[in-house]
Amino acid sequence: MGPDPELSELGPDQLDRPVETAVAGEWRWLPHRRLALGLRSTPIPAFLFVVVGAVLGPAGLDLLGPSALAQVQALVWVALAVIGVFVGLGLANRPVDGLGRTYLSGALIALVTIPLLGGGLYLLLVQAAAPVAGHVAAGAILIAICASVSAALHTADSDRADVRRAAYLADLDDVPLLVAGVAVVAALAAEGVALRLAVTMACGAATGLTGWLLFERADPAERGLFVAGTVLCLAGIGAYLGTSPLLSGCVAALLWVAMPGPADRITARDLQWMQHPLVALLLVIAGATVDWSAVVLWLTACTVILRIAAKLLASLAVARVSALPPGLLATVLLQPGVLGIALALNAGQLLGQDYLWVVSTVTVSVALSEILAPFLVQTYEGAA
Amino acid sequence: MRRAAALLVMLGTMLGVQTVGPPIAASTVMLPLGFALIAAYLLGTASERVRLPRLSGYLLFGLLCGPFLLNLITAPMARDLQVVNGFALALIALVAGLELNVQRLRPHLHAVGVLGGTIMLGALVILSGVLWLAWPWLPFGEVGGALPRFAAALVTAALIVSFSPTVTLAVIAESRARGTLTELVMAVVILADLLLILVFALAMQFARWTLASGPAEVGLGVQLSWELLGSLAFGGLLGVAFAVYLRVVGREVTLALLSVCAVLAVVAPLLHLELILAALAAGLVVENIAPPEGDALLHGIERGALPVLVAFFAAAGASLQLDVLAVVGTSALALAVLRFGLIRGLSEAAVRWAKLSDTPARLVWMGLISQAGVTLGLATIVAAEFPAWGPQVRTLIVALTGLHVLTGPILLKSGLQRAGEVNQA
Repeated sequence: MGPDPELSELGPDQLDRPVETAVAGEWRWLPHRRLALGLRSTPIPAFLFVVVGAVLGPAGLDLLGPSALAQVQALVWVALAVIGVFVGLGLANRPVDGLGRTYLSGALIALVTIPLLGGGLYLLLVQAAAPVAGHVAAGAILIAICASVSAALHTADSDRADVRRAAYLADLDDVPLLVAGVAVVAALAAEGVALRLAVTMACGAATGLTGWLLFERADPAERGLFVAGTVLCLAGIGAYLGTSPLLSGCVAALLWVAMPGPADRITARDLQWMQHPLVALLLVIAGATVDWSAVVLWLTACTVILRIAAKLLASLAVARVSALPPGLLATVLLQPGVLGIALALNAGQLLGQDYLWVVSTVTVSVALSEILAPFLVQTYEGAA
Repeated sequence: MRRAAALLVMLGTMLGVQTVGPPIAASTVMLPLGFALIAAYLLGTASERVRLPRLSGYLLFGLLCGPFLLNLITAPMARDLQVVNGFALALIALVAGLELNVQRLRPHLHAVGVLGGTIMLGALVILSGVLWLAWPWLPFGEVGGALPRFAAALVTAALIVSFSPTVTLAVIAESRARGTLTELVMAVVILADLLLILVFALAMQFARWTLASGPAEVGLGVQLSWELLGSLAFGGLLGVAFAVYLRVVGREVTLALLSVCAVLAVVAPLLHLELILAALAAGLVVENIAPPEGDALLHGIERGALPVLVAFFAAAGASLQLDVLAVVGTSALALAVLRFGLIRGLSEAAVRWAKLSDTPARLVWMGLISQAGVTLGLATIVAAEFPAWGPQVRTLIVALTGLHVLTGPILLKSGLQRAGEVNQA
């Protein structure tokens, strides 16, 4: 069993660069990968899959009923792990200037958006005495976290440095949102959240280390087996501990990015064949899960409006720190991300029916926000 | 070195997760499946370095990490891991069917008939007699008079004699073996499997009649015909459809193959068909009506079959019940030795009788020691139907299967190596 001949053919200097870069000679692999994953605007939007799910689900044709949904739960866990891996890989070395300032800005965006959106939703829920199950404040925060996720538009591969940096900011704020979201879900699911979160991250890193040790020198057949085994472990760790495969996947991917060698590129390449179907499946399941009640529709409308307001305010607040025009920041941050729906689905898996209103609100508001975002971008691009 | 380190890290990870557990989520299949894929494969490649089949490494992994030793794969996890079984069986049997070319096998049909018939029927007769005589001293409980005891002995002997097509075919697939011995072993095992289903059904019917444990089934012939002929017909039809697809479309072959396996795994149990037979028939048809496509397909799926084999045998290892071996160990060991002697002795007699001593036929016995899932399935039926002695027989069969599933692959790999047929496919 020797190393993968495809990797050997790349040569040592090329091995230090992304596989796609070495082949195509351009640094365009990351944005394209995120595009394929559906983490940002795609020609086939998330909205479409959510609608398909809604049509097939119990509220529509009932082809995807509760028993069918239960049977595909394992695939959902795997899809979450894959998305987690790509969130981590998305933070790989990006050609942006002022990295420190960018990190600070990313954190600030999350700090501004979540309290504004979550606080606003909580006040509305309390004042309207909305008939929702579970912990109202936790649910509002969860919606805020999930709906706050941004995905870079078709700007991440732009020739302009400021546009690239804005796109990177949209990716960066995924990580604190993911950690915060998983923490809230784990706290609601069971006791001992801190320990389980710590073990999830430690085991995610350990699984990442296993992959790093194995991927590079494996032949194609066994590498496929190792990648599949690693992803299953990452999914299983989150599922077993009642935290999230998104977190374990993200931690493993961050390790692959940080360690020397092509483990990150190997994973990205080997997971490519499964990423799109899995994300599509995730969106269809999210669509089928939606509870089309009046409360959910009202909450969705509130979430979409509050989200736009929160993102605009975050853009204004961060503009000085990031040295980016607030208009550019806003257009990038307004685009919702599939990661939000993934996080909400994860919450739904762990928290059960009590928090179905959270999953439903996030799913529909992300789908609606995706329809709205291009209009805002076109407006900005026209003005620019 | 890197692989050893990776294995250690994996073990540490599982320990960490287990310590903080218990599982909060409903699904526990992904973690043991991922762990098994990586760790069992690493152990499998390590066992290959000491000239053992990889499959033994996968089984050993399951045994070591299973509920009875390290408990890294807990009992519920081991149960969840069985989810891959139907699919894996279909894939393994399909691959075996693709290896069976009737034209290549034709010169050996006489040898197959003589070997299969002599070993299977000879062992059945001798074992039935021995069990009938030794029944009072075996831990089976009282069954009554001489005739009921003979019926119980016949049923038990049918279980003890049975072979494992699954393990045999898997060792051949993972050894990439091709040659006369490979084809002989496969053909004998498949013939023996057909005979076993027939003999077992007849023995059960006889036992029901003598022990009056339930009404004798009038439609036995119909049921048997359906199980045997129906399986072959269903698999054959699926094989024809698949061969046509390969010839006409010829794209997305792996996906199509996996779909065929999924259809077999889901539909065969629903129709009360024998999954292994149906999948074998499908592979046989593809190989024999579209040979170039069949060969290309065989090479194409070797890559895809790897994770399925690893998961299947790791799960089998994890489900081996060591506590049972402790209870009926002595009886099991004595019967295992007797079975081994019978298979070897009858095989040599058949070889001499049919004048096959110059051919690889004299090594065929080495491929007939394994026992696995089919035997356990039949033992479970016996346990349910004859509560007075069936559960004890099942316990013995579980122990015997544990012994044979560990030793059988090693012997077969050794035989294939001696015949020079490893890595020839």
